[in-house]
Amino acid sequence: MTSVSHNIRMEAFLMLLLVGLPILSAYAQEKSYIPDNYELKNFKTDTAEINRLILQSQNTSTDSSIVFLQTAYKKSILAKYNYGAAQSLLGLGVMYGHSGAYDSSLNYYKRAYYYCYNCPEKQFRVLLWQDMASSYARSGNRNIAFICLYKALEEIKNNDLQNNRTLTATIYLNIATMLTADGQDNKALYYLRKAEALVKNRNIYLPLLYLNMANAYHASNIDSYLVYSKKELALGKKYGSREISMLAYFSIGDAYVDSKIPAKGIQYIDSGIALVTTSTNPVHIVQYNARLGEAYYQLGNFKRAKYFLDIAGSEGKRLGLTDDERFYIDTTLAAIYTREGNFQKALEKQQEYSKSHDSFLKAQKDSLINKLEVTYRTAEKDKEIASQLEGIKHRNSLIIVVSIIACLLVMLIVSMYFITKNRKQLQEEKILNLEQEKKITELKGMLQGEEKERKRLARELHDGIMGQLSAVKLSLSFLKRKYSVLNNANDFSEVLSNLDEAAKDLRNTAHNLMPATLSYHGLGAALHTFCDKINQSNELQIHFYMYGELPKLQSYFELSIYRIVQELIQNIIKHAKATEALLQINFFDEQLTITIEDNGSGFNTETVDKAAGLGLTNVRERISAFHGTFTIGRRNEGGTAIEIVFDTNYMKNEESYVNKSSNNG
Amino acid sequence: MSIKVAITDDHPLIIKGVKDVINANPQFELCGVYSSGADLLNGLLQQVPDVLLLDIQLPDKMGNELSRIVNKRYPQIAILALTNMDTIYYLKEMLQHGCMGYLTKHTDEAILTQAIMQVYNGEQFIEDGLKEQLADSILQKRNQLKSPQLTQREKEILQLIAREYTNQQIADKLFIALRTVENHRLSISQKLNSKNTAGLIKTALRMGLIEP
Repeated sequence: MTSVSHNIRMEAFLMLLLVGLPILSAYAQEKSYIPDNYELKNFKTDTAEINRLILQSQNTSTDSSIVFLQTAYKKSILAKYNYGAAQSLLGLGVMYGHSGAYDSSLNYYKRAYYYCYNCPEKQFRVLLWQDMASSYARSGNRNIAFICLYKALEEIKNNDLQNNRTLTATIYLNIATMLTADGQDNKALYYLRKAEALVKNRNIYLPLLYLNMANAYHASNIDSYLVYSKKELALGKKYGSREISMLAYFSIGDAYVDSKIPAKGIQYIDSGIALVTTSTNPVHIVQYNARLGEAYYQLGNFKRAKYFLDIAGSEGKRLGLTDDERFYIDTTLAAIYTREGNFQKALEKQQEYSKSHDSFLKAQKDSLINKLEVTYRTAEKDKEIASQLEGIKHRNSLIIVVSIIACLLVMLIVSMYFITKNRKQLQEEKILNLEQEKKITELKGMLQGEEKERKRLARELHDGIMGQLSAVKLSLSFLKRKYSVLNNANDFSEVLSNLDEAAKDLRNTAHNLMPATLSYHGLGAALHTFCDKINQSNELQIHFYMYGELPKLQSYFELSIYRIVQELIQNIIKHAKATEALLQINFFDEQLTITIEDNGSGFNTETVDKAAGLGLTNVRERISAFHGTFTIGRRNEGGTAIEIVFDTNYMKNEESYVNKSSNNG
Repeated sequence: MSIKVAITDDHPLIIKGVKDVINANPQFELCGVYSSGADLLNGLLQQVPDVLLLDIQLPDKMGNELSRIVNKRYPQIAILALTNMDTIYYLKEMLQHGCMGYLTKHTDEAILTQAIMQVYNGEQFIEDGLKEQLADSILQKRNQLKSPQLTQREKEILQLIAREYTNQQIADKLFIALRTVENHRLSISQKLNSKNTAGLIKTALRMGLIEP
C-alpha cells in the first residue's frame, strides 16, 4: 500500500508508478493468483524456489531485491517457467524504474514482453503495459505512457479481466493521475469516478481516490481541494498509511498557503515532513519546500523563505522540474530578492521564469495562430465551393448553361442595384466622415493646446517646486543632525512631516496634470502605474490586464484615453462602493478595446448620467469624437461593466517608443 | 580614505542640500558637481568619483542613457539614481542600465548617507516603498497567470464558443463587430493559456467558467 500511494500523487510532476510489485504482492495473498497447478507439478522444485525468491524480493531493499529477482529470472529460464520469468522481469523493471534507471527498466520490460504474452496469467499483459507506462512517464515520454495505459485498458477488455476490480481501478487511477498532471482535471474526474465505482467496497483504495480527487480540484476549486485532502488525511490515519497521511498533510498545507493562511499551512506541512522517509519521492520534497518558502514569504520571514526555496530550486533542477513548479519557485524568489533590494538577482529569476511565460511572445504567437486559422478556414471554404462546382460539372451541361446565364443576369441586376445604392451610401458616409473629421480636428486642436499647457505646468511643479521641497527637506534633516537639540524637538518633527504631506499632495497634483509615465513609457505603462497607485491607496483593488502589443498612438489620443479611464475609475471609487475592479486593454488588428468592471452596487440605467454627473457625459463625448463606441451594462455577478472600442487606424504615430527613448536619451 | 562622491542634477537647491550632507560627513568627499549629461561626461575625464548621484531628467540626456554610458566607460563608479520619479518603470530601467541604487529626492540625510555607503560597498540600494511595489507587481503577475479573471464580455463569448457558435454568429448575437469578437478571443485564449478552441473549452470547463 505504501509504495502504491507514494506514486499516485502528482501535481506538477509525473510519477505514476503504481507498478508491478504492489500488484504482485496482492497476487501472493489472493488465491486465484497462484500459478496453475499443472505448472507446479511439472517443475516442482524449481518453480517453488522461484516463487519463494520472488516473494523474498518484495520484502527487502532494492539492491537485494534485484539480486533475488535476477536469480529467479535465470532459474525460470532454465526451468522454462514463463510465469516466473515474466514476474521476475517485471519486478526488475520496476526496481530499476524506482531508482531512475529508465533505460534499463524499459529494457527489462521489453524482455518481459515475450513471457507475459506466453504465459497463462493474462494479467501480466496488463501489468506489463502499466509498468512500461510508469517508466515512460517518469522519463518524460508522457505520450508513449498514455498509449501504454490505453493498451493496458485494451488488454483488460480483450482478456475479460474487468472482474479484477483492483487491477482495472489501478489503470483508471493512473490515467487520471496523468490527466491531472496535464491539467485535464475534468477528464481525470471522469476516470476517478469510474475507479470509485470499482473500489467502492475496497477501502484501501479510497484514500488514493480522495488524493486524486483533491488534485483534480486543485486548480479550480480550493475548497474542494481542502475537503478531499482532509478526507484523505482522515483515511490515511485510519488505515495507518504513512504516505497517504503525509501527502494529505502537504495538500492541506498547500491549500492554506494558497488561501494566504501561512501559519496554518506551515503547521500542516511540518506534520507532513515528520512522516517523510527515505523512500519518499523527491518531487514531494521539492513541492513542500516550495510551499514552505511561499508561506514564510507571506509571513515576511525572507531568510527562511529563501532557505526553503533554494532547496526546492536546486533539488528541482536536479530532477528536471516542470515549468509550473519552477515558475512558482522563481517568482517567489524574485519577490523576495526585490524586497531585499537585490535587484540583480530578482531580475535573473524574473528572466528565468519569463522565458516560459513571455506574454509578449505569446501574444504574437497567438495572433499568428489566429491569422493562420482564418487563412485555413478560407482555404477550406474555397475547397468546398470548388468541390461543389465539380459536382455541377457532371450534370447536364444544358442546365449549366441555362443556369449560368440566369445567374449572370441576376448578378447583373443585383450588382447594378448595389452600385447605385452604394454610391448613395458612400456619399452619405463621406458627409458623415467629414463631420466626424471636423469634430476630431477641433478636439485635437483643443487637446493639443491643453496637453501642451498641462505638460508645462506638470513639469514646473514636478521638477521645479517638487525639487525645491525635496531640497528643503534634505536641508532640514541635515539641520537635525547638525543641531542635536532638534532631535527631541517635537515641533521640528512636525514641520518635517508637514513637509512630507505637502510634497505628496504636490506630486499627486503634478501627476494628475500629466503623468510622466505616459509621455515616456506610453499608455500601457501609464495605466499600469495608475492602477498600482490606486491599489496602494487601498481604496480599490484594480486587476490590470493588457493583451496584444499596443503601438505608439498619437499623444492626444493616448492622453484622452488615459483621462477617460481615470474618470471612470474615479467614478467607481466615488459612487460604486466597490472593493474590486478590473481594467483590461486589448489590442488586436488595429482595434483597441478597453474594459472596466467593478463589483460595486451597480446603477440604475436611467440615473447613470445624473449620478456620475458631468464626467460620464464628457467621457461619452470624447469617445464618440474618436469614432469609438461606449457600452455600459450590469455584470451578472453584480456591479458595472463598461466596454469602449476604438479603431486606431487613423490614430497611429510613426514614432515608436524605442526610437523616442534612444533619441532623447 | 574618504569616499569620493559626485552629483549630477540641474536643480541648484538639490545640489546645495546634497552638498551639505556630504560635506558634513568626514567619510565623504565631494569631487564633482555637474548640471547636465555633457557636463558630467567632460568632468569624468578629469576626475572619477567612487559614487555618482545621478538625476534622471536632465536638460540634455536621460539618466538611463547616461547611466549606460558611464557604466560602460567607468565600471568602477557606483551609480545611485537620485530622482523625482517614483514608479517602478524608471526603477527597472535605471537598474537595467547599470545603476547600483535608486532613491527618490524626497529622502532625508540619514537615508542618503546610508544609500551612498551601501552602493560604495557594492550592495544594491532601493528605497523601501519602491521595493515593495516591485515585489507586489511580480506576485500580481503570477496570480493573474494562476487564476485570471474573465470580463463579462469574455464570459459571454466563451459560453457561445462552447455552444459551437462561429465568430460571425457570436458577433451577430452580441451586436458587436467580428473583429471585436476576435479581439476578445485573443485575451480569452491568453488568460486560459490555450492555443485552440478545444484547449479553450477544456480549460474553461476545468475552471468552472462554463457549464459542461
